[in-house]
Amino acid sequence: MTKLEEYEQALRKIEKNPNDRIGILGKVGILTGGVFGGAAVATVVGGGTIWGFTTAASWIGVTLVSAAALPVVLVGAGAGLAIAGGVAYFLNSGSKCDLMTTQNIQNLKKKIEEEKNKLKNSSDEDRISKLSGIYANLIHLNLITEDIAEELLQNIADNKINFDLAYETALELLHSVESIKEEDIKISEELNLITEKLKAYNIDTKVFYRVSILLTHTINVDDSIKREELVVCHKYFEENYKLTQKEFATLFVNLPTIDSIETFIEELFKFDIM
Amino acid sequence: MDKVKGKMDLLILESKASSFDEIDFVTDLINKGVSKEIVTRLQLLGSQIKYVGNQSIKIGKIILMKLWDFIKENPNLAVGFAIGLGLATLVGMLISVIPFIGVWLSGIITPIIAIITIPIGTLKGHRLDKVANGEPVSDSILEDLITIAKKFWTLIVDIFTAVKEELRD
Repeated sequence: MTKLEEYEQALRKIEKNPNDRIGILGKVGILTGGVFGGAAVATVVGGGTIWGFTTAASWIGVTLVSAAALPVVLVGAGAGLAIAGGVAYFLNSGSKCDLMTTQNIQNLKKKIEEEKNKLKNSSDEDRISKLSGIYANLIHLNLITEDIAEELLQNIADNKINFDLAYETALELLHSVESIKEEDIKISEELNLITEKLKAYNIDTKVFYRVSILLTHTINVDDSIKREELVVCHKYFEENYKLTQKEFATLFVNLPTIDSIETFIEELFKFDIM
Repeated sequence: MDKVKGKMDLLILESKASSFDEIDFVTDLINKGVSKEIVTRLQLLGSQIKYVGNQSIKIGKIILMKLWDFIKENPNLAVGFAIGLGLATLVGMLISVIPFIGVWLSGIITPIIAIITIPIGTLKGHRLDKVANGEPVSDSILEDLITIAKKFWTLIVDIFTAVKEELRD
């Protein structure tokens, strides 16, 4: 049984009958103390109620039977007085115990609320931890920066960004990397040629892989431009010319339709950014 | 146990009692089937405080905390039996050594025991006492259980005994 279930079960049991039954006995004045009193209380606490007895005598009669079966003896001077006094204390402590029961009910409800919040937080923490793992992969692949990841996670924690949307988007980005990887493997020969051409222009070949992801997410690639033949080195431009992803996408879109990397690079050179 | 060690051990118990979660104690007993009337009266016991110098000692909570340990250490004992046996044994051990605590405790605990109706024989007839007095002993599971309870409470009783002169209301 979980802690939450334990608290809920205890609360159900207490709320079933919150009144202190022993206190009721004391108020009714049936009991005066001693072993009889103790055993009588035992009958009540054991499940019987005083309402089933029409006279005190018959009630005492029943309790005598219980008492006879299980006596309590305590050694020491004053034990008898202690018993009598103790039972009187017991009977008269009903109102204190009612208060204690009320406090127990309140405290149990608080504990239940705390446990429910803990469960909710731990499931939120699990999800955020998974998302952090995906962001770490994306950072490693240079698809997002650490600052962006940190900002996104903070906004999610502050409930400014919907977690599910952020999670799905991150997964899509990660999976698109993997899908491109597969395509890259298929066209490795062509990529080798493109790589050689890029080298001629001193453009970092590592980035064309990243940039092709950008192409799928930021702009509509014209059919005449084959993604695998066109390497748009966003990272190169970002690092060397401080272009943001949006700026680069705008630059690319504004370029005329080109059918080769050479043409693309030539066009790029026409802009002052080169 | 000397007074200084007793005081140190008492302070350690006091710091543990400060973090004693009463609601977990209540939850455990209620779920084990102890009636709430017993539980709330145990809680009243738990509210008792004594003083050593200027330091308040949650003596009631210490007893409850140790009682709960006794219940957990003896899972095969019916919980009511464990409570009654544990408390009755403690009272029996304290009442002659420290009447100041013993009588106060017995006033609260005896009715609890009466309500639970535990078949506890006289402590005078306990096996150890019998053996010490050279009396014949019977083969009694109950007496064995009393032995277990006595061993369990020995440290607490030793601590209270060591500091009894300094304990006050």
